[in-house]
Amino acid sequence: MIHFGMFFPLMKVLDLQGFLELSYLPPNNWENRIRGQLNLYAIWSDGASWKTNLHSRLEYGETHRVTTNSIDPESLKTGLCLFYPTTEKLSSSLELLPSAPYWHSNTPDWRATSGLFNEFAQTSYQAELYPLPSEASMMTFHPFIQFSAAANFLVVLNVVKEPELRSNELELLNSVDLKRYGKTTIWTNSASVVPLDKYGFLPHDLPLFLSRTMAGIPFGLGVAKNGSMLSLEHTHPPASLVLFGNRRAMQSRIKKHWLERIEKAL
Amino acid sequence: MKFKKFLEKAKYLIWIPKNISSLPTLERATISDIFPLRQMNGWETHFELLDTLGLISGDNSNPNGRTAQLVFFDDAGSKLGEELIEIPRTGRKTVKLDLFFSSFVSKASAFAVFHGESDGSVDLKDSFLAERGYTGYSRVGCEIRGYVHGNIDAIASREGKIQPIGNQGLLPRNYNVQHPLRGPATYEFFISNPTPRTALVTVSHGNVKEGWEEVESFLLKSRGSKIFCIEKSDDEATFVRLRSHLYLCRPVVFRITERGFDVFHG
Repeated sequence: MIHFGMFFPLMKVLDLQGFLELSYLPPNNWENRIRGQLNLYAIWSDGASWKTNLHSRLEYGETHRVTTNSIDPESLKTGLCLFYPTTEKLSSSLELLPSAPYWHSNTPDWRATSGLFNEFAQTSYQAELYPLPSEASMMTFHPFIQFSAAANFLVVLNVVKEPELRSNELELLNSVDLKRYGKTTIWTNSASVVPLDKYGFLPHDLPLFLSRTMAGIPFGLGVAKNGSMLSLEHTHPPASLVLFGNRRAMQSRIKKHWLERIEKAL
Repeated sequence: MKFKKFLEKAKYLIWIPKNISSLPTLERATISDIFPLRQMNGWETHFELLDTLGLISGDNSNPNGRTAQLVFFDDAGSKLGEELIEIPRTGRKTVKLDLFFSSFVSKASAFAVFHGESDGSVDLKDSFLAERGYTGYSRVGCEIRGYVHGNIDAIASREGKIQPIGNQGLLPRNYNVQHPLRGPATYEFFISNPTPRTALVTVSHGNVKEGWEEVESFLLKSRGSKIFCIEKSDDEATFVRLRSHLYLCRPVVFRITERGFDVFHG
């Protein structure tokens, strides 16, 4: 089995700028002993192949800050550019994402700070990305839509090892009565943005988002209407509702329960 | 060389054998994070209460009127009291944690949320119901809330008994907060102790190039918590390093600027 490498996302969504702070400093002092110089590649999909560009070289202890206004706009057409530290030299065009994970830790995962900013504010999360299965699904609940002063968006990050940009349907439902608010499109190897306020969610609603054909990492993004503050956090996969035991099996069962109910409600 | 590898493996074995958290010994317990509660100096805390058991079963309309228990702790980990609250039938309830909600809030620095155990309608197999949900913070003058999800599987509860389930190791270990500090900003770090024993935590600030300076050292009682602060005036990337016996001494980070703030787990 091939384990694909760990990537770090730089996002460009809406009229916000994105930033990535990548530090060559492991989260703990017992899992990583890498100290050598690394090549830091920017990698993005043009739909036919993965394009790569040697962005910089990274020495142990260094932090590189990359912003969306400091790199080639071509690399951000999908809203998502990946950064990949490696000792290898990559070809300028790849059929599959590189598979060697040069940075790795489990307790916790080695992460970068990735976020968004405008002239007044910034927001971030601790980011790492592993390629997702090409054939998969995503179900999540969004419990922190904000009202009155905020504009709300769902951002879905997806990376698969193949470079194709494939459209997928995202269904938006009310989790209690399974009323359908609508459908929209999200994309592989992209940062897809879904404006949420037009669907009329109420403060006591818990929206359910379902893609039957694409996995993804979903985020709730809140933007103060006057631009003074931003808020970004990922929503949980169903497995986060439980701990211990066979969480993967629980995730499948939870999805199955919901899918059965959604089918009945059709 | 072989001896060096042997030493590395031996060290790894000393560090690794346990997990971040232990299986609760309380049968059919439910688990909660220790969430920061901020209510002084213009802060407000909101918790997004969901029907977690219903989300597992595929029906979160809470037809049986399930309840959850909000338990408040002071910074020494002492339980101040608890409030029973009905889980929403509509999907989501935003609970503002202020003195109108509970008198315990005035002295509390953290809280936990325990959902009622499964009523038998949901088979959790070997897993435990977990509350790792979303807390929204706001400050005077901020237009919207910043949200962060639970990041430490901290304590289990059943029938009023509370069991910390985090682990401490034989040897102290470093945790490098995975966020480069950049100013001008005030950073506030919320640390909690999810283990049954008191933990000594040593905070250092610096980077690989300039070296590390010990900032402070403090004892965290079981279930206790503390916020420590670092003022950052310049733009050079520096880091916070936490040394303790805790398996994962990962804080919730508040980055406060003149106009607003960002919150994330580090």
